Amino acid sequence: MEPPKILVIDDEEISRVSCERILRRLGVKVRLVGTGREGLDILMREPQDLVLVDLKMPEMDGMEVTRRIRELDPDIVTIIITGYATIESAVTVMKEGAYDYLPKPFTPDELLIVVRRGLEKRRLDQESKSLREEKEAMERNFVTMVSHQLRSPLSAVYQYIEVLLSSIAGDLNDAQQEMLERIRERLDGLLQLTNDWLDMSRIQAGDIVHRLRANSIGECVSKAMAGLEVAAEQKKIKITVDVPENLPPARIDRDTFREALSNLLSNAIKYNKVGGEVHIRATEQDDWIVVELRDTGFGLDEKEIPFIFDQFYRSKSREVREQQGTGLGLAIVQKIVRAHGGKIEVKSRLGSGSSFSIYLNKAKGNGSSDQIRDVGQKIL
Amino acid sequence: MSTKGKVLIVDDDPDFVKTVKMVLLADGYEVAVASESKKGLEKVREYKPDLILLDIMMESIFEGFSFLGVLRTAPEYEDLKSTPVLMVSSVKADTGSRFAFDDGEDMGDAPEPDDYMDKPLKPKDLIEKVAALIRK
Repeated sequence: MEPPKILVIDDEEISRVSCERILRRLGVKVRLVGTGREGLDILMREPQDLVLVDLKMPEMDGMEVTRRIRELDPDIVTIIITGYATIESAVTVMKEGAYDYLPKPFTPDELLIVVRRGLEKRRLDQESKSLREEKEAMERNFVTMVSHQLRSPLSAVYQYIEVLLSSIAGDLNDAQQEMLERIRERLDGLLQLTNDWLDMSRIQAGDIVHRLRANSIGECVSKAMAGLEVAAEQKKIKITVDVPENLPPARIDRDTFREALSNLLSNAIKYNKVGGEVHIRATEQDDWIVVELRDTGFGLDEKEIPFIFDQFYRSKSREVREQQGTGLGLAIVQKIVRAHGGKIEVKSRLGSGSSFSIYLNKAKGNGSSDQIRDVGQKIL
Repeated sequence: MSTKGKVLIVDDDPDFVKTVKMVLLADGYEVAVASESKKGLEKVREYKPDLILLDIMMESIFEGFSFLGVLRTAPEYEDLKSTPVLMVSSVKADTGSRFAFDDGEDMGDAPEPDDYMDKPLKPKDLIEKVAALIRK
């Protein structure tokens, strides 16, 4: 490790030189200057761990130097040397941010004690600072790490099942095939739960607010649909989209809003009848852009509507319970929509389908000026 | 017997490696394996794969990206830098939301892989992606 750096600022040469002689015993690197200005110059170019300042100097006195050091870098430990030690002057310099003071004349041991203590404080400060930074970095990557730790074993198991089901490792009889398919289905549910749960903790309202830009609804809808076409086909569900060409853009964070839409759409498909319909429509209403998803699905009991956005709430109805679900999808949707400064409305009748409407703020101005190309987005 | 091509798997999860290897072998590829990026880079030189299947998080959180950085920019890999890379990770959620590490500085100039897949990989999807990348 590098030896600590100490700067001595004193207008009297004899004091400076004797300080240096004593401090050398600590194995530190000492620099000497005669004025506050020179001292501050050095501090700006080359950070020091500790500064010894004489209080009484012509031009810029020790008080002023201490104040400026504090402005420059409050982590530097400053010790005042004073020839006229009064309680008042000591208190004043400590108020300016000095760590300690040393009355003149002092013995070598007195200087060493004060400086050693100052350096110890500096070391502890640095240490706690780096620990704090480490902790912050860990918190930043926490969700990523947890995601990795949870998903890795699940992925490994899943892939074994996929390989077994693909008969690469030999043929399966019907009973084995069926059991493995059930295992895969349950595992799918578990993976989905992990994803949803991580999404819940990852989605930070503050982050979304920063990313709100003017975006067209049509684009978001088609992106949200992209991942769900297969599911819709399997249940023979017809999806129609009605987004007017001239609809003004809304203030949207594309990634999370697409997620909200795809959660709603996935519900509209999942809790629908075979051969059912989903209708997506966007309209302009006063200052809002409203996106409505209407389905011909099972619908909700009126009594349940107040609870459907609660985390882990799942409908009591048999049709819903038959489908895999985590009870987090709508909670995520609501969290995202609220972070957009919007709201969500539900209309539903048991047996004849539901309608979810997301209200988003219309983008101000002509929109395009607000649009930012996404540079540097990384796939991960 | 001639194969469809040579694939190098760089991943520290032996179960992942085993299953992917089975799928690729069954489909007629030749496969080599490295369990960390340093060995992986040596293997690239020795084995000259037609495709690299690269995990992101191994010993360290960005290991896959460091690997890719060396491969794409280091002078000693000049002749191999255009080897296609298919990056895989179990980090990203499957909803299509991009799961960036919340660290702009670290990720700012990270190299881009040729393609990306989420773990778990489905055999059919894997075979399709691999074939498409090798054809390129």
